[in-house]
This record gives sequence, C-alpha cells and structure tokens, in this order.
Amino acid sequence: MKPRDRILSRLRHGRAASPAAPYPAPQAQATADSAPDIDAMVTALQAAHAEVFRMDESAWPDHLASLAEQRAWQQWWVGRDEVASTWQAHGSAPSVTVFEDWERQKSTLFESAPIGLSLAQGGIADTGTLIVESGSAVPRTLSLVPPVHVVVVRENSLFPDMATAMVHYSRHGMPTNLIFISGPSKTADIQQTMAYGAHGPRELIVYLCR
Amino acid sequence: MSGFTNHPDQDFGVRIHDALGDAELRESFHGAMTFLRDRRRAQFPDPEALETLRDSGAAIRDRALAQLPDLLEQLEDRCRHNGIQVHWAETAEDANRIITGLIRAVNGKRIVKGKSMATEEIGLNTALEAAGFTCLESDMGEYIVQQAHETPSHIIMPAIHRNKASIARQFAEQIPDTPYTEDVDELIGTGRRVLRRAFAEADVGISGVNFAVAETGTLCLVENEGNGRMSTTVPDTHIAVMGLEKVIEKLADLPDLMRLLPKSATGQAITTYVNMISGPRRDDESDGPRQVHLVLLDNGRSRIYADRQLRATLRCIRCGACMNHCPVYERLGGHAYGTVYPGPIGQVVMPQLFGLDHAGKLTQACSLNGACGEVCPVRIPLPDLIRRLRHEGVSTDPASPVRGHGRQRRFSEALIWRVWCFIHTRPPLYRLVTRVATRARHWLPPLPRAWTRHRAPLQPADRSFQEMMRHREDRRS
Ligand code: SF4
Repeated sequence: MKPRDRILSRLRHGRAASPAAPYPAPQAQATADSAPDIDAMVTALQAAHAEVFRMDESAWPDHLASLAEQRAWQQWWVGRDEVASTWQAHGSAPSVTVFEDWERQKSTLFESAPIGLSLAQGGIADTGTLIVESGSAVPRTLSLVPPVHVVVVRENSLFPDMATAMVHYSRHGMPTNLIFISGPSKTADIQQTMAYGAHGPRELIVYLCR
Repeated sequence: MSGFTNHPDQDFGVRIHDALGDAELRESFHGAMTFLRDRRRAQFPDPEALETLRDSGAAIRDRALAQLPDLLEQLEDRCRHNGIQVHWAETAEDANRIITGLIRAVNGKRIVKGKSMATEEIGLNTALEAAGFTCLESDMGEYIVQQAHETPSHIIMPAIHRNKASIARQFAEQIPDTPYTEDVDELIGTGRRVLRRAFAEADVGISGVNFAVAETGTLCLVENEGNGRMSTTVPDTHIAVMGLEKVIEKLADLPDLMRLLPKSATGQAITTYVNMISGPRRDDESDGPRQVHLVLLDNGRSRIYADRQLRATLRCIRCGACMNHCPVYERLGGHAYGTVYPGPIGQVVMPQLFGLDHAGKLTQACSLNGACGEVCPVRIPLPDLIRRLRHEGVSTDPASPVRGHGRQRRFSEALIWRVWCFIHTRPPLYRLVTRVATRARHWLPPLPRAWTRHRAPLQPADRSFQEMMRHREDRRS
C-alpha cells in the first residue's frame, strides 16, 4: 500500500472504531445582506495605519498628482489594469514603468521600484480589507515589493463582510491567488513593538472611489 | 537549553528550575502575555457573541474532522485539478525526504521559509542542512531565533523571550555593516534589508498552511509581515507543508474561523495579509510560482484521531491563546517545555506524538486552573485532555490508545494512593486516622524538601474538619 492509502485507511478505521457526533453548530447567524458600511471600512483601514481618501472616481488622478508632488514621488510601477492606463494618460508622473516581464524586471523591482499603483478588484467593508486577485492585468508582486502601495478601489465593488465575499468566490470560483490586504506590512516580533514595513509595503494609500 | 527534543521529560525539572530562576526571562514573558491577553480581551467585548462564535468554531472544526478522510481525498482531487501536486507523508522523516527530493528535482539552491509550525515539528531545517541545503527563516521572529541558533519559544511570537537590547547586540555582531541600535524600526529595517535580498534570489519557498479548503483546493495562510506572500510568490517553486487535520470543508467555513484566529492569537480583527493559494501561475499571469506542492503530514495524527475524546486535539487552529492564558507557561516560557508546541496544547499534543514514556511528565506542569479551556476558540477541553493523559500515564490497561501508557506509574505513588483509598473508604478508620494526625501533629515527620524548598511546611489543624462541624452543630442546638 502507498503511504496515502495507509493514512486514509487508518483514518477510516479510527472513525469506524470510535464514532462521535460532531459538536452541534450554533443557530446560523444572519449574514449581512445590508449594504457595505463604508465608514467602517475607512475607520478600520486608518486604524491599521493606512491612508484613505474618498472621492469620485474621476478625481483620484489629480489628487494623487498633487500628493506625489508634495512627497516627491517620481517613479511609478504599474501593471496593465485600468488604473495604470488612467495614470499614464494623466501624464503627471515623470516616470511610469509597466511591470510585465517578471524574469527581466524582477531584480529592478526589488532594488529600485519605490511605488506600486494598482486597482483592487474588491474589498470587505467591516474589516477594512482590500481584495486583490491575481490575473493577467496585475502582477502579484506589484502590491508587495515596492515600499509604497497606492491602491484604487470602487465602493460598488465592496462586500459587507467576509461571509458575503466567500459566497461570491464559492459561486464564481477562486483565482489562482487571492490576497486580502488590511493595511501596510507590519510586525510586533521585537518586544511587542509595532513596526511597519516588515517585508511588504511600509505605506498603504487607498483611494476609495464612488 | 533551548533545543527541541524527542524526550522532553528528560531534564524537564532542571529546565523548570532554571527558567524560574531567570528574572529577565520571567519579565519578558509576563509583559508579553499580559499584552496579548489584553489585546485579545479588547477584541471580544461581548461575552455572549464570543461564546456563540466559539460554538461555531468548534462545530466547523468538528464537522471537518468527522469527514476527515473524505475531505482529504476531495482536497487532493481539487488541488490536482488546480495544478497543485499533493504528497502524503506518514512520518516526519517521510516528509523531510519528500521535501528534500522536491528541492533536488528543481535543482534548488536558495531556500526561504515562511513561518510554519509543521516544519518545526518535523525538524525540516536540520534535515535540509544534513542534505546540504540552507534554509533561511523569513518571519522576523523566526529569523532572529534562527540566527541565534535557538528555537521558537511561542508558536505565534517566536522571539518573545528576547528583548530588544539582546536583538540589537545580535544584529550588530552577526550582520555586516550594522551599527548597534535599540530602535525597533531600524532593527526591523535591517531584517528587511537582509531578507529582501534572500527573497529576490530564492528559488524555493516553503510555507505552512492555516486552513486548506476541500471545496476549492485552496491553501490559506494568514500573516502580518508579508514574508508569507514573498515565500509563496517570488520563488519558482512553492512547497506548502500542513498537518492533515487542517482541512476544512468549504469556503463558507472560513469567515468564522478567521474571526476567531487572529483575535485569539494577537488581538487583531484580521491579519494584514490573508493568502489564498489555489494553484501555480497560469500562462497568462506574469508572476507567481510555476510549481506548487502540498505535503500532507500525518506524523501520529491518525493515531490521535482514533480516540473519540483525544480527537478533539485535532481541532486546534494553533492560535496560542491557551499558552497566553496559562499561568505555568507565563512563568516558565516556551523553552522549558523542550517541545515544538509548548503550553497547554503542547502538553496535550506532545505526549501523544512522542509517547507518554518520553513526554508524559509534561502533563504534570499544570495546575488544572482551566484558563486554557475557557479561551480556546474551538473549545478543545484542554484540562480534560491533560487529566486524561495523566490517567493514561499511570494506566496499566493494555487497551490504552496512547503510546507509552503506564510508564509514568511509580510504585511508591501507587502505594500511597492505595493506602489513601483504603482509609477514605472506611469511615471509622478515617476518623481514627484524622484524630491521631491532628492530635499528634507536632510529632509528625517533616515533609520532603522537594515540597518545603519553596513552600511553607504543612501542618494538620488541631482538629479535623468533621470535628469542627460537629462542634458547631452542638453549639447551635
Ligand atoms: S488548543 Fe485552542 S487555544 Fe490552544 S492553540 Fe489550539 S486552538 Fe488555540
């Protein structure tokens, strides 16, 4: 017998020899069918040390351009999503690199890509979470490697809570890589002192758009 | 003194003695445990809602265990369908052999690892070293601990036994061009700098798994630092290692477990990152691993599964709340246990994995105060299980399901209990003995030094409790 079959047969034997009724489930709690609580989303993200701006979708490029000027942000890395083309069309950034060839651009991404800009496909309002799906338009590492991550998310793409998000993915299938992001990267591993930018972005800037 | 061992009972007493005498260590743990307990409490303001949520957590995990073999088959099937290769390991050695083989097959040279207790359990780092590979730990706490040739002292916060001054010294000594600083941001910055280079160059990434969803063939990994994302995204090959009990039935089971795990562990509503991996990179995707492997680890779990009561052990979601609330763990710290899993869950898991002959004494380091059982998010009756294992430790029943049962039995102890039992089941004899003991209390032999070294000597009262009660009744009437 192969290890797999031995393990499975041990489990089946064990179960048959001492059957037990599973712990009773509590009465199902009503899942939120209410609208996502945008204020809760903002509060949660801010509590997690993210910067949040709310505005109409047409307004974020101008706002980001002035923010970039204040902070002297020059070199942008983008994928091939709508946010990327809007930002390129806006024309205010001195340098925008399209990240599309992992093998060729990987080392530059790690060494000298200060800011990543991307669209989040959705979000979870009550925990202040952004949902990032892998796909052809946006590389996974764009939201991970640059020290600053600027992300645009539409209010109408938000789920009220994780339960509704899971119903959606159960129905539509999972992408190869689904990431929930709820703030900048952080750690409290040294004497319970919170430090931001452990391995991922130090700063997370969220445009929550109507 | 901080190594893991397969015989934690050996020198357990010595380690306890040393730990209790280490003022700095006790201060570190007292501070850290108070911090974690307060944070957890703040996340669960409504006790009733918490109890309902714990019911749900227990029910979800129990329902998964009730279908364990079927869910594992479904998980394997869905993973294969998604392009994840599944491997089954009966023992730690098998798992290490499988992982080493996978690394050789892709000609891996540089290996990074995200935090994973399963790989600690199988001693993967040592096995990889023996096979000529070095594997860099990338969780900040694990990195600090690995660099100091230590082992983690807590399952969630591996470097909890260290203060920043000692970490500052370590970094200044061991990492080139690093000046001494106790500034935590700078220390983390140093770790970030070193590990970034390692991530960029790594060809194999190893991780653990918090939950595996059978419905979709999805591996969930929760973390705050982003090292889990790095380890599972940047290298060309990703190897995930998980204890086979971690499978859950469906995506709909995740939300409640996710409401329990980070809150119970670190007092966070949600971790910064939740990774859900359902396959290697597709052709149209620009990055991500080309190969994803899942190693399913038995290593004694199927034996634990065979006992109806002990099966509850396998509900564990490794949040660490039981140790954070354990007064013994708080005073000893994780290293004194000598085990990968310390604290209450370790006291229950380890004797079952290594046998009561090698780890049975661990069950004695417990005052049965019940705190662990009250906080466990999946309602594992830890105190009951500890008592059960104590019983199995002295049980001479040949049908006992736990390895090494009866090996904690001592003739003298068994004799004492025999005598105790004889006296207590015979009222006239009991009255006589208590009468003699109270009257002759000044002439009784002293208690052994093991008791009196840290405690006041015990002396019987001048009258027995029964006598006192009788006296009271007499006075009343
Ligand atoms: S036994 Fe319960 S409290 Fe302890 S780590 Fe496991 S789930 Fe958490």
